[in-house]
Amino acid sequence: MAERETSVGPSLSPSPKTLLEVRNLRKSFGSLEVLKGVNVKAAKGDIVTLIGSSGSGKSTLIRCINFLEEPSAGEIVLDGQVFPALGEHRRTRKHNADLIALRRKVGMVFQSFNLWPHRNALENVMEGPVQALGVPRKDARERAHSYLEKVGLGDRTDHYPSQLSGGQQQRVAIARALAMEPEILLFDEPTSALDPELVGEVLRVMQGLASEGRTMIIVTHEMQFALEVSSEVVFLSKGNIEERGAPSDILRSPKSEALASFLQRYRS
Amino acid sequence: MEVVAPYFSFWLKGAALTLGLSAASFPISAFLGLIVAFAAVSPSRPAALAAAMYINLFRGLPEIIVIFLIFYGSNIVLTMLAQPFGIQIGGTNPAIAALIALSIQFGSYAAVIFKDWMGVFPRGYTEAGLAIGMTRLQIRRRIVVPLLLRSATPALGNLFLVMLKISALASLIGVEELSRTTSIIAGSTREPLVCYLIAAGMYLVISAVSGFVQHRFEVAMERSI
Amino acid sequence: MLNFAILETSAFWWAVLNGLGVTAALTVLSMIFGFITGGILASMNFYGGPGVRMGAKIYIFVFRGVPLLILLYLFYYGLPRVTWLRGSYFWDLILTSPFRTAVFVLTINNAAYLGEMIRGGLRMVPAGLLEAAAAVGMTKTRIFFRVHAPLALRSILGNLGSETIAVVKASAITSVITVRDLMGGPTVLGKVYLDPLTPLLVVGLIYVVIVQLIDLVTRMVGRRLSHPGTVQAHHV
Ligand SMILES: Nc1ncnc2c1ncn2[C@@H]1O[C@H](COP(=O)(O)OP(=O)(O)OP(=O)(O)O)[C@@H](O)[C@H]1O
Ligand SMILES: [Mg+2]
Repeated sequence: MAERETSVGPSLSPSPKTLLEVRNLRKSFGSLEVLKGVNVKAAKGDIVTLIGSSGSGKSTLIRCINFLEEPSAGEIVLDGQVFPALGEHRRTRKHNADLIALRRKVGMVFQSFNLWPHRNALENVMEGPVQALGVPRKDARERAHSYLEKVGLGDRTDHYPSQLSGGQQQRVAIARALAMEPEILLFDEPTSALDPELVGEVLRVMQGLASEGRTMIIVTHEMQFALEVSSEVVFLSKGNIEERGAPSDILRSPKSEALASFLQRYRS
Repeated sequence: MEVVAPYFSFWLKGAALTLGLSAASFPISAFLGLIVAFAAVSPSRPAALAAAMYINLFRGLPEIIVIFLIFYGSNIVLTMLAQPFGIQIGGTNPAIAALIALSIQFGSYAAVIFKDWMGVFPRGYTEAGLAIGMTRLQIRRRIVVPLLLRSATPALGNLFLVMLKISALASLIGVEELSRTTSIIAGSTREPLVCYLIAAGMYLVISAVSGFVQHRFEVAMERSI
Repeated sequence: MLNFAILETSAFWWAVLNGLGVTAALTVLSMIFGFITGGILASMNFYGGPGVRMGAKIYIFVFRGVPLLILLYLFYYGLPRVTWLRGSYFWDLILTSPFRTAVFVLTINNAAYLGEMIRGGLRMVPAGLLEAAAAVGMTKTRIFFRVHAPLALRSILGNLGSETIAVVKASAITSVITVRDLMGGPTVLGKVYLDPLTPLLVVGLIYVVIVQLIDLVTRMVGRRLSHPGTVQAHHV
C-alpha cells in the first residue's frame, strides 16, 4: 500500500512475461462500488473476453484499463510499467503525461463507434498518428490507407461517418485504433449497436486480428465468437470475477449458479 | 425623395460601416465566447466563477449602457493615464469604443450559446480522442471546437443579425454608421420621415442578405458532414 | 476627475427611483400589449389564408429586422411630420408623449418576437389533441380557446422570463427619445453634473440586479414548466 502511494509514475515490475495486468482494481461511483477488487492478466497474444450481465461492471473495468474512468484503487501494469490508481491524490502534469503514454499503447474500440463526424474515414484514422504520435502527414496517410484496406474499407476512405453503415463505421473505428499500432486492443461490446446483419463483418475483422496474434480484451455478448477466439473467458458478476477459465469450460460447463443462469439467457 | 438623393453615397458609407463594425466585432465575440465557455465548464473553480460572473453581468447590462460605459470610461482612464506625462489625448476613437463594447457584450452571448452546446457535446467524441492519447488541448482544438462551431452556426448567425441591429447604438457615441448618417441627413434635409424609412429599408436589406448568406452557409455546412 | 458627488444628491436617487417605475411600466405594458398583438399575429400565421399569413410574415420580418433605435426615431421624429395625422386619435394618444411613443414602439417590436414565439407554441401542440377535441364536437373557436391556446401557452411559459429580460434591456434604448426611464433619468442628471460615468455605473448595476431577479423568479416559477436550453432573447 505504502509503496503504491509514494510511487507516482511508472516503475519497473518484476514479471516481464505479462503484457497487461489489472491488479486489485476497485471502482466506486459515489457510494456504489462497481468493481470490488478485480485481477486480470493478459500475456502477449492473449485474448481475454469479459462476459457478464448488464450492470456487472464490464465497461467500467475496460474503461479503467486506459483510465477513461479513474480507478478508485489498484493498479494497471502495462509492459512492466505500473500505473497506480490515484485515489485521493490530485493529478499532476507528470501523471497526465504518463496516462497519455499509456493510452498511446492501448487501443480502444467503443460500442457506439465514436467516429468524429467532421472527419472522413481517412482523417479519422490519421488523427491519432499525426496528433498523438507526431507521424508526418504523408506517412500517416499511407498508414491510414493500409489499415482501412485491412478492415476492408479501402474504397471508402473519403466517406464521412454519416455516409457509412454501422458496420463500416465500426470497422473504421477499428482501423483508427490499429493505426496507433498499439500493444493491446480493448473492445467494449463492439457489435452491440449494430443491426444483426452487420455484426458478422465486424466479427470477421476481429477474428482476423486474433489470428495475427494480437493481444485483445473484449467485452462481448457474442458467445460463439468468445468460444472461438478467447484464450480466457472471465465472467463478471456484481463487480467480482465469479468464474474464469478456458472458453470451453466456462461457456459449456459453468460451475456457479450465476453463470449458468446468465448463459441460459443467451441460448435460444 | 429628390431632396435626399444627393446624400446617397454618404448613406452607403454608413451602411458599409454598419456591416464593417459587426463584421469586425463578431469574430472577436465568438473567440471570446469560446474561451469563456471553456472556462465556464472547466473544473477550475475560479475560472468557472469568473466566467459565470462575466456571463451574468452582460446578461443584465443593456447594450446602450455598455457602449456609453466603454466610451466615457476609456476616455477617463486614458486621460488619467496621460496626465502625469502632460500629454493631451484627443479622447477615445468612438468606432474603437463601439468595437470593444460590442465584442465584449456579444462575447457573453456567444459564451452562453457555446456553453449550451458543450452541455450536450457527445462524450464519446472526447473519449475517442483520449483513448488514442490526444492531449486535452488537442481534443479541444481538433474535435470540440470545430464540431461546436458547426452546431452553433444557426444560433451564431442569429446573433450576428442581432449585432447588426444593436450596432445602431454606436451612433449615440458618434460613430458614423448607418443610423448616424441617417440622423445627419434627416437633420440637414428636414425630412426625418423619409430618411428613417430609407434607413429601415437599408437595415432590412442588410439583414435579409446576411440571413441569406447564413442560410447558404448552413446548407453548405450540413452537406460537408 | 472621478468624483461621486452626484451620489450625494437626492435628485439623483429620485431619478433612479422614478426611472425604475418608468422602466417597469414600459416593460409590463409593452409585454401585455405585445403579447396580445403577438397572439393575433400568431393566429394569423396559423389559421389565416395565404394573404393573411403573408401579412403576418411581412410584419414579423420588418419589425424584427429594423433596429429599435430606428423605429423610435421613425415614430418620434418622423411621424409627426405627417400633417394629416395631426389631430387624429393616434396622434393624440401616442405621438404627443415620449413615454407613450416608447410603449407603442416597444409593443410593435415585441409583438414580432412574441408572435414568433407563440407560433412556435401553437405548433408544438400535437395535432392528435386538436383532432380529439374536434372529434368530441367542439367548434373551431372553442378548440382554440379551450385546447389549443392553453396548451400552447403552457409550452411557452418557460420562455417568458428571457423575453421579459430582453424587453427590460431593450427599453433602455427609449431614453434616446427623452424617456426618463432607469437609463434616461439618471444619465440626464449626469450631464448636468458633468459626470456621465457614475450614473451609468449605478444604473448598470441595477439592471444587472433586476435581470438576476427575473431569472430567479423564472427559475422558481418555471421549475416544472421550463425546458432545458431556453435561448437568450434579444428584442432590439
Ligand atoms: N459514470 C457513472 N456514474 C455512476 N454510475 C455509473 C457510471 N458508470 C457506470 N455506472 C454504474 O456502474 C455499474 C456498472 O456499469 P457498467 O457500464 O460497467 O456495466 P456493464 O457491465 O458494462 O453493463 P452493460 O452490459 O449494460 O454495458 C452500473 O450499475 C452503472 O449504473
Ligand atoms: Mg457496458
